[in-house]
Parts: sequence; C-alpha cells; structure tokens
Amino acid sequence: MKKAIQNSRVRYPDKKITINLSPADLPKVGSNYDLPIAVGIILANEEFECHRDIVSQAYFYGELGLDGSLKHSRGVLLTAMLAKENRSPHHTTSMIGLIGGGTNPMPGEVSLAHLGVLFLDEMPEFSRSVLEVLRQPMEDGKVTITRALGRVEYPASFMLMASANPCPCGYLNHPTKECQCGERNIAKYRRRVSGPILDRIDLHVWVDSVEVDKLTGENTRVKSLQDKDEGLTFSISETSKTIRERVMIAREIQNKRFKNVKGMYTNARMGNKQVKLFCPLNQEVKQFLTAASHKFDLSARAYFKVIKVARTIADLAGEVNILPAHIAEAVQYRENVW
Amino acid sequence: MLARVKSVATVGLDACEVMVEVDVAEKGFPGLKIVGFQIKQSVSQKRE
Repeated sequence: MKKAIQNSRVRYPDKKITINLSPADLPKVGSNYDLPIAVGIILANEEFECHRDIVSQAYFYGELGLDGSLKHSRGVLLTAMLAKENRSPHHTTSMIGLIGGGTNPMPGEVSLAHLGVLFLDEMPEFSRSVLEVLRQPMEDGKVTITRALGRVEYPASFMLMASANPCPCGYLNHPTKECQCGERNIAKYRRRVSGPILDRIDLHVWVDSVEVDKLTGENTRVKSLQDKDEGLTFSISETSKTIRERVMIAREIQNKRFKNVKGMYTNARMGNKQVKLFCPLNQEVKQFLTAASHKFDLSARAYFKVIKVARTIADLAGEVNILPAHIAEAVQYRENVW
Repeated sequence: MLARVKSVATVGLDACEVMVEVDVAEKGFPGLKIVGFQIKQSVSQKRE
C-alpha cells in the first residue's frame, strides 16, 4: 500500500498511522481494503486537497498493485448494489435520522437517498414533526443543517414514494371485509399527513387490495391463454419491462431538454421559470388548465406541478406538445384520494 | 487527522457497509497499525 501510494506520486506520510475497520466482527477479505485504506491515508494527511464531500459519499473497494493500479476483486457488484440508494426508513425514524444532524452534522436518510428513491412505508405512522421537515428538501433538493459547530448543506434530491392504509384498520372500501374505524378515527388518522406535504406530492393513486391468486400471477396467465383460444381480444396490462423501456425513452427526452441546464435532468426538478421556458402551452391547453385549477382549487404550487406532470405524461407518450388529455391526466392524479 | 472512508464487506450475497477509519498522528514512531481484522493472518500481511 505504501508503494502504491508513493508510485501514484502522492506523498506517503512518515507518521504513526492507525487504521480501524469497523464493525470488527464482520469477516473481511484483507486485500479488498487496500483501496479504502490508501484513500483514507491520503485524506488523513492534510496536505492533500480533494473534494472531501464527494469522497465521503463513495464506497471504496479493491486490491491495489504496487504501481497503484486496481486489481480484479470479487464482490464489486454487491458493492455497487449497496451504493445504489433506495432507502426505506422505518416509521420510528427520528427527525435527525431522516434529515441529518448530530453534534458533528451527518447526512440523514434524505441525503443518503440523493438521486434515488426515499420510500416511506405507512406514512401516517411517522411522527408529524418528522414528516414536516421533509418540506425543505422536497422543494430545494438539499437540506441545510445548522448546529453549534456550523452550517452544513447536504444534497437531498430524492424521489419521494409513500404508502398509507386508507384507515387505521386498513379495510375501508374493501370488497369483502368491513371497516370498523368510524369517521372520526379515519379523519384523525388522515390528519397526521399535513396538507402542505400532500400538496407537494404529484401523484396520488388509490390501490385496491390484491387477491392472493392474482399475486401469484398463474391464474391470470391461464385466463388470457384461454381467451386467445376462443378468439377474443383480451387486453393484458403492460409489463414492467415495457414500462421500463418507455421510461428510459422519456428520460432520454428529458436529458436532451435540459442539456444546457446544469444539474437538471428531469421534469420534476424544474423551477417555475423553467416550466414557462420548457413547457409552452397553446391557447386551448391554457384555458383547460385554468378551468381545471379553478374547479379543483389548485394552489400556485400545484398549478406548476400539474404542468410538470403533464410534460412527463407527454414525454412518456412520445408527444412533442402538451395536449389537454395530458393536463387532464395530471390533474386526476391530484384528486383527493387521501 | 482522522479520515473516514466507506467500504464494503461481503457476507454471502449480502453487502455490509464497513467504515475504514484512518488516523495519521503528528506524534509517535512512523508505522502502520491495523485493527478490526478478524483473521490474524491478514494483519501480518498488511504491515506496510
């Protein structure tokens, strides 16, 4: 490792170096820590200037040759999977755990989910104060933590996904089971997620409970085959694979759209200024949107969000211009299911 | 000064985060000491 650092033309500190690999009880293959240890030594040696904030977010894994080159090591795919963030914090998570903080402010779940997905399962079970702190990162794509030691800003541009039961018992509108909650309890349960947070969520979708045999997928396949034999046209819903293809194409369109805007890759990240610039609406669409926003009493924020969602729907459909149908679909996702 | 670098330990098909902490002290004899390895053999291999 010493030679690898020296041969990379970086000064190796002739000082007392102590290295700790924690947690100690995990079995570790020695050679794979060459790279993180070497990077650690370079960082700990204050002389070297580098982007510490970027380095601290990355995972290092690999064996080094004496010339500083990386050798082949097993487990790189697993490392990459760990690095690809898809965070789903438990609902007992504290405010600091979610947003970041501590005496020496550390990034929280929202920053660990940067450019990934933050999934809040059973959203109403999170404490209200914890949910409210999501407002700033949801709007700005970053969090600012101020502590005695100073002010730290962490990136937190995530896609928020949240799920909730319709009522505490979970059986409201269930086809066969009866809900025992009563209106008052349901209202109380729903109040746990505040209006401002709901207003910041673009797509609200009601999902019916799934029957067991549908989940296994076997019965539906048999059924569609039978229908084919009888010569009936049977529409099978899109598979995840084809949806993925459409999403990739839409993402590509958006990449091209924002190629001149630094740090912007998706429609969702547009500010109001960019919405006006990149999403011109013709007279008919504008009138339609105005009528819809009066009817559904949309906030100014929701108005722009609807345009952004409509832009994405149009991208997914491969349309150059936003059509009234796209606006209608976007508004429909704002309908109050909660 | 202390530096922290994230790395990974693989256990079967699971990857667990490992924190590599490196301290370069201003005082003390030059040298390198590693703690946290479970297998002693690996430590002796990594003197340098």
